[in-house]
Amino acid sequence: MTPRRRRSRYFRLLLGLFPREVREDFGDEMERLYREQLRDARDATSRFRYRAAVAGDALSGAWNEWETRTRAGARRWIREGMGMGGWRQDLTFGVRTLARRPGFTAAAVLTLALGIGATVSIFSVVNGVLLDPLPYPDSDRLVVLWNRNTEDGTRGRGVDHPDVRLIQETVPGLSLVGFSGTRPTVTGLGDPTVVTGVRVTDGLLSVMGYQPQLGRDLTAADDVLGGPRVMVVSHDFWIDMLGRDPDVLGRTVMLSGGSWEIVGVAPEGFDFPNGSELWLPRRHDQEGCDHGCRILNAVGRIDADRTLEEVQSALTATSTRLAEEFPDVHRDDMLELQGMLDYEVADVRAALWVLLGAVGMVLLIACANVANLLLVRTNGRRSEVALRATLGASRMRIVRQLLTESALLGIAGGVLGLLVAYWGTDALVGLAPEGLPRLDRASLDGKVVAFAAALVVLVTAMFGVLPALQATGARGAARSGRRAAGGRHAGRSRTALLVGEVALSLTLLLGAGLLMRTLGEMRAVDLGFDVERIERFRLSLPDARYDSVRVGVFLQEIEDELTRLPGVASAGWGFGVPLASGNITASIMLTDRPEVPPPDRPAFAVRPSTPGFLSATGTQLVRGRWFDSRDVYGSQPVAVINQAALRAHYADRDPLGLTIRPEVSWGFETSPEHTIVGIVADVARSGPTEEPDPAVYIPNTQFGANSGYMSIRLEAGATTAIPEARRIVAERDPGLAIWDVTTMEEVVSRAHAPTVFYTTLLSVFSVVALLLAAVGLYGVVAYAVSQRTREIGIRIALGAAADEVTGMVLREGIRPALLGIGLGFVLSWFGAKLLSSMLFGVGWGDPITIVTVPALLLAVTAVAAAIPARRASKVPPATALRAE
Amino acid sequence: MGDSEAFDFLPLHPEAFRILVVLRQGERHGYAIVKELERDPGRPGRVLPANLYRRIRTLLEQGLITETDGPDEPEDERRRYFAVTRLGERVARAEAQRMRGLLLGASELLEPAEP
Repeated sequence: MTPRRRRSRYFRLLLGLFPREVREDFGDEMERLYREQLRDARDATSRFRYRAAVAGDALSGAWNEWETRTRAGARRWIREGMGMGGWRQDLTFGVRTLARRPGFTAAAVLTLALGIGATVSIFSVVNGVLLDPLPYPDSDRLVVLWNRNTEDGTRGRGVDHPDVRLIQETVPGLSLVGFSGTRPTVTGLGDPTVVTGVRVTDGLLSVMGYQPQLGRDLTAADDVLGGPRVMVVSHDFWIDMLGRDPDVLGRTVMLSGGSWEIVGVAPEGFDFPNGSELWLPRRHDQEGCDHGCRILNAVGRIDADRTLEEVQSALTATSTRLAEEFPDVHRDDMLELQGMLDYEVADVRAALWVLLGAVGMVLLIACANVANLLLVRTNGRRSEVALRATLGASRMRIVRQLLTESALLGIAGGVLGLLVAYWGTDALVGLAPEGLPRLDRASLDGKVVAFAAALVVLVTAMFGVLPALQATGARGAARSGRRAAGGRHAGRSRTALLVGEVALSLTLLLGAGLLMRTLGEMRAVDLGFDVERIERFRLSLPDARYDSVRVGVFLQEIEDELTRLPGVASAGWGFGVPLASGNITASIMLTDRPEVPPPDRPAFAVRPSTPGFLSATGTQLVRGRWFDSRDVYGSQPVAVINQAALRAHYADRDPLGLTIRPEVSWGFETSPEHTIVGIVADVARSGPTEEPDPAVYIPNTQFGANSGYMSIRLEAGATTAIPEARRIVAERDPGLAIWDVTTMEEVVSRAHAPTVFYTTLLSVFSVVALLLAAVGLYGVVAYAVSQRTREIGIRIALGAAADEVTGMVLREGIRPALLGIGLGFVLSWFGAKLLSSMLFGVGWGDPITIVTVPALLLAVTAVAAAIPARRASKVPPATALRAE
Repeated sequence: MGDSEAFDFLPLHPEAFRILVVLRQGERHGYAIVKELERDPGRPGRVLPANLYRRIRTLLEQGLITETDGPDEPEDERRRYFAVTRLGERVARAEAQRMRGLLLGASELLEPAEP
């Protein structure tokens, strides 16, 4: 063993403290000196002392070296403009490089702008709808009350008046208000107008966090049987209807024939709930509407010093108490609270996140495409990079230069993308269906712009880092003098990007395909009613002037007169009509079988109707008869059930001639037994995707509902009967107004609108994704062909047939597409789970989608690969050989 | 007195001055330099590796000393030898003169103290 090789681990360890150049230059010499001096030490004590001294020496020496270096580095950094000098140079160079290749730059910037713009547009909607707080003070403390049925898991928002009062007494930390909608007709202030009002148990203003602008809010003291007729009006109502009357307090307004005194004006902009203009006390005056009469919705505010969980546990105790005290109506009830924002956006949350995810995939594909472009380009720039490296640029320096160029592309794409988003957000809001809540809040605010900026950074990192590292990876090879060839490594990266692109495209296309199939399924559903040439309007008759008998007579007269109009085939009135607000669900006693306790009685939808209803709406009579002029108040009470009721309760017996007793009443105080005289087909009441509920139709002359919808069926060629209908109603009672005028075509298209909206967006995204992926595939294959011109030429010169060459190139393009399709199936399986709430009648395994979509994708990619493949087969051998 | 180039390096660190003085006698490797330095009775403490080579590197960078081939030695035993450059020689002289000047101005300090 030679002395040179003898290493002192102790000294090597100390050497590790020094900067690398010092170690490389003098490490060996220092170690040698150490060993020689150590040898001079005579005994163990002096060797120990020497070692200790050397450690101190090394520490202070290393400290000095680093300190000098840091000082020098800092001075240089300051001298070079705090690191900006280099950046400025990078920037100038980057701008020049990009300007020299306008085609490449435009393609990259436009691709990015499209991706970023679409993503920011969707995010602005997500931000406005899901993330922005509700526009009420401390809105995160607002809750809505639910009533969950512990038996079947269903839940509804209906609670009864005594529930509200009991909760107020027993649940500390929660201010609760119960309310129900009302549509009174305002008279005496110009033409009769139907306005949106709400009847409340307590003041809604204070619970929502507001003070009245004038006067006072309503209180629980106003909500007493036979109490004063007082009300709070909205700011708009005060201005538009009352001319901003400064002495408005104490003034009376006629509502549906009764006079109400104004005691307060709400602050500007307050219209909770649902655009209300008037707030009236409930006056708890609906007789017979006590425990179990769940006609109220309730909202509340949790005190600042309580948590939702604390309040919920007190509420649970109250629920239990209700179930024990009133088992007949509350046995299966569980009261629950939900955050108000959560509640308002519950229906669209999943859909919006799906859309954001989908558009994010488009952005990823756009990034992959730009990365591919850059990879191809950096390949062409290898000699430039190698030259700069040879001239002494560090790898970091070159990566920085390339990243600066990418950042320039990213920023340009981001700025253009914001423009796209500015336009895109408007387009989205315009395209969106009416039902989408809070959509008006979607806009490009600071949060959205910050999101866009973050996106630019992220996107730049995604498409820029890989090509930059790869370009500089070639440095070593170039330095050592080998020819800078298109790296196999770079080829693999491009293929991997391509596989990812195809996988994401397939996921999006499958999603869009499933939604299209959903739309088809929805449109194919037999709604059970006619859609063409049917008009509809709402009409309510005020209690004050119409008793239940008069309601029946009046509606029949209107119906008869409408039917006599030229161009009108039939007219009919009903409550609980398809795709409209208003629905009565009541428990039904089936009197042909032993009596069961109330919670176990079946629930039916109860639909009071007139004789003309059946033909005016196109509901099909299956058996027996429908109502006619014989069915009036005082005659034998009759009923017609639907097929859902037949299936659920009369599978083993013929219902015709049997009796049922709906435990609900409207105008008439009694709820007699009705004899079933007919069966009608089911109608889709709340939407094409809902299962029809069991329902019972009752002649309104025997029920007395004073609010509902009049349907008019027009004859072929007739355009509208609405002006005539308006005239007929006004002639009979100038204090009445018709509203909510629409056609059934509109109603149905509105029901399909959300699905149409999501399908349109997802289709657009997936088509963009498909095009981007196809362009990417084309680029990769075309580049591969151009790199292999020489090889292909030789093959042809050696006698390869054109078909063989085409096939060879085509296979190379198809292989990543097939891999991507495989990967895409895995991805889409997860995607389908997120999508499931938006699907109807189809699932991930839908055979039509699962076959056609990959076939389409494969066809498009095959075409994209075939173009360069054909070009390759036509390479003249001589050209190919000259290509070097 | 006109050697302004040499004066730029003054004052020298005492250790650097000593190394220059040692190397004036001829080329030396690290261990030999240490041995010579440690013979000086007026020098405090030991000469340790990090400190020595820090001085040597600075002197090399300043161009006051240079590396030489040294005598023929077996490859494994090859050490690095250093010698003083002409600039180093001039700097050492200038430093010596500077120190002599200092001493002349404070000669009474060298007289034995009054008993």
